[in-house]
Amino acid sequence: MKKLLLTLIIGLLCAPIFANNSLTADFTSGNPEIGSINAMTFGPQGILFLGDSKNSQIVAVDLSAATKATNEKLYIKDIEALLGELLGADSDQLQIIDMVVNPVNQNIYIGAQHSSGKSFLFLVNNGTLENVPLTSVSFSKVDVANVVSEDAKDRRGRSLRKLAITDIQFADNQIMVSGLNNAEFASTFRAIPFPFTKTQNDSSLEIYHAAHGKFETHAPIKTFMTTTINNEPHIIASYTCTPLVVFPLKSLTPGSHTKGRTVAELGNWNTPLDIIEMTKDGKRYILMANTNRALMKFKVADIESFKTSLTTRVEERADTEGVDFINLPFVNVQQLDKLDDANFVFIQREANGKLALKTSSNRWL
Amino acid sequence: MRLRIIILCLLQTLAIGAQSSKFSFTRTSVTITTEDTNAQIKVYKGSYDSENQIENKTAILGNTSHTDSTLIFSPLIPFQKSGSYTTVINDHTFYEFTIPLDPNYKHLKVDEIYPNTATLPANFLKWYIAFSKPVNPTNIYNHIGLVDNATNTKVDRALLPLENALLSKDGTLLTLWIEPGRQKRDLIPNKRLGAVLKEGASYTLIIDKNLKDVDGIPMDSSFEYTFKVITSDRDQPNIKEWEFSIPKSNTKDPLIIHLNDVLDYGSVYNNITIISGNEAVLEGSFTIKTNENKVLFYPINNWTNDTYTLKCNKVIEDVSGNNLERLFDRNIQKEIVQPTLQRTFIISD
Repeated sequence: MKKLLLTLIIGLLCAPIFANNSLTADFTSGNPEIGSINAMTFGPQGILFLGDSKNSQIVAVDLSAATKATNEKLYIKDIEALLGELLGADSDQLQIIDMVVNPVNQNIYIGAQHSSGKSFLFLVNNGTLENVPLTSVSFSKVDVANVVSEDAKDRRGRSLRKLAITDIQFADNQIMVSGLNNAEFASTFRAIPFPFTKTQNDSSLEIYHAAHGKFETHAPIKTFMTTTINNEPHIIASYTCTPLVVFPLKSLTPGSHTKGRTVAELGNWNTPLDIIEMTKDGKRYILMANTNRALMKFKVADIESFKTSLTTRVEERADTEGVDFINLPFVNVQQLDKLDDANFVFIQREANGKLALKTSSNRWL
Repeated sequence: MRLRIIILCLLQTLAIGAQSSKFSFTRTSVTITTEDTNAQIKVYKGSYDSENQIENKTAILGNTSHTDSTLIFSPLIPFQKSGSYTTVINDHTFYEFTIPLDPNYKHLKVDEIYPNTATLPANFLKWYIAFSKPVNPTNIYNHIGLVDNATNTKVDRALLPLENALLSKDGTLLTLWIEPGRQKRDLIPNKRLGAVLKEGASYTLIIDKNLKDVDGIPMDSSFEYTFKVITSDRDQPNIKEWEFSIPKSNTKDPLIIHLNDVLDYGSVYNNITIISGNEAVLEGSFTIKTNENKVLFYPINNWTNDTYTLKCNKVIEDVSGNNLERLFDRNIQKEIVQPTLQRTFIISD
């Protein structure tokens, strides 16, 4: 009994220490050698995950010590011009790749790429962009090179195959990665436990979607998010060829052939860009930004009640089928993330051609 | 004091020497000779010569260091070739400079496109475009279009734009997808707009000359590739129909595999292996000539009298995305037939 009590006391004393440091216990300080920033997401405790296609890795950077930015008014009217000035380059040599918000302190980070292939991380602060150097940070990383064959080279010795990371998300103690393969038109999706270990026990899935019960195809996932559907953790994924597909997180088992449930088709030439969840008055909504369509709003309850896959053709409105959605009056939204419980931040190509960073609230929900 | 120096230097080196006793620049730094170690140095993109002009401008990010007699600014990324900049000391002394372009500069060009056949099936899926040097990946799809030759108009929503361009690691090989939602049977884009390519029609893929390389220098001329569209390909490639030109024993002559179909260039890479009779993977190199319907294997060591096996990965696909195992958009009411994935051949004297 004494032994049990002693164990309990030691356990209680140690628990908070382990709880605080468990995720960053294996982090090291130094240069994670980031080749490119292709996708970003925040995990818990201010840990930023970066998807690096160039060096085929996922890098977790501890930003918990970062100071909260001062942003009285979140508005940058021409973020492309600002980036051009800051990097001394023409705006067509620069591209914003991703934007994420640290849910711990609402700091907004932007990943940008220069034509040389170099990527930069910026913090939105005081109406401008501050460079966040990534050469001396506390980090941990994992290799994702084996998604594609490393030794594939053509006769000029150029490495052909590459995984292009399209999106990463953290949920359920794992980082999930979707990617395009430049050689095969297939879905590449894997879940990697975090904290990273030397012996990965990750899942690589084949995900299909069906069109009206007649044809099924491989297809790359463009963007995705995790949420609960009917009290079960699920992934909501949007493909390059328009279907919106859900599948349960528990289906992420190594080597599985998962067929997602198609709940909607979202229209012609509509490449999805970002997808987030917002809540208002206890109701949950999905917001999705697209290349060629307005910001779309779905009710999670509608997805929950849409029990079947799209099996027969249902004419609901021109060009779209399945779960109902509403187009919000925000067009050409290129980046989107949840700022806090009531607001979202986005980067929008405005009618004047300029790319602006701005916010809006859940009054639209 | 307001000093204005315009330097248009035609030197081809990146590290240009001192352009004046007080001011010099290279692509990666600006150096000012000064004994004022507290002097403030800022560099702006563009040509300016007064404080008013830079009032609303943001200075380039970089690092500043100094010695007893010099102040050095190093930008985060090298100054752009042909780009003009202005260095401002203590907000009032201006030095304008332009990074020169080598007059013999080799401009970006398209070396090859796969496939480059005169005809393509209506359900064609993707091209690979090989550039002569690393290409600027940012907004690359804005410079590529498909034109219907009958109307001489750009085909709307024909190519899939991606934020992260599908480029090989060295930045020279671009994968370009026809909009997949329109190529897949029964998806809404396919039903509403039909396939991108109409059977019998003629098209030209155009890469406009404004596409730049990683240094920001555009191509010399546009690239065009014209083709005619034939009926959709809904047959899987079948390696049983491949023919071999078999080399003799005791030579290092290539094994030539004659393909029965135009295969997808990328999918063939690293997906064929040659196995010897004792089940060892033969060392050697493949040359993929999908534009000539050929694959060549050059062994490192001489062929010996033996029975060899050619093994293929099921992901090898044709130009319509049909692979050895399944059609691109498979009718799920039809059963999958187990594909043939290996062939044997005999080498003799």
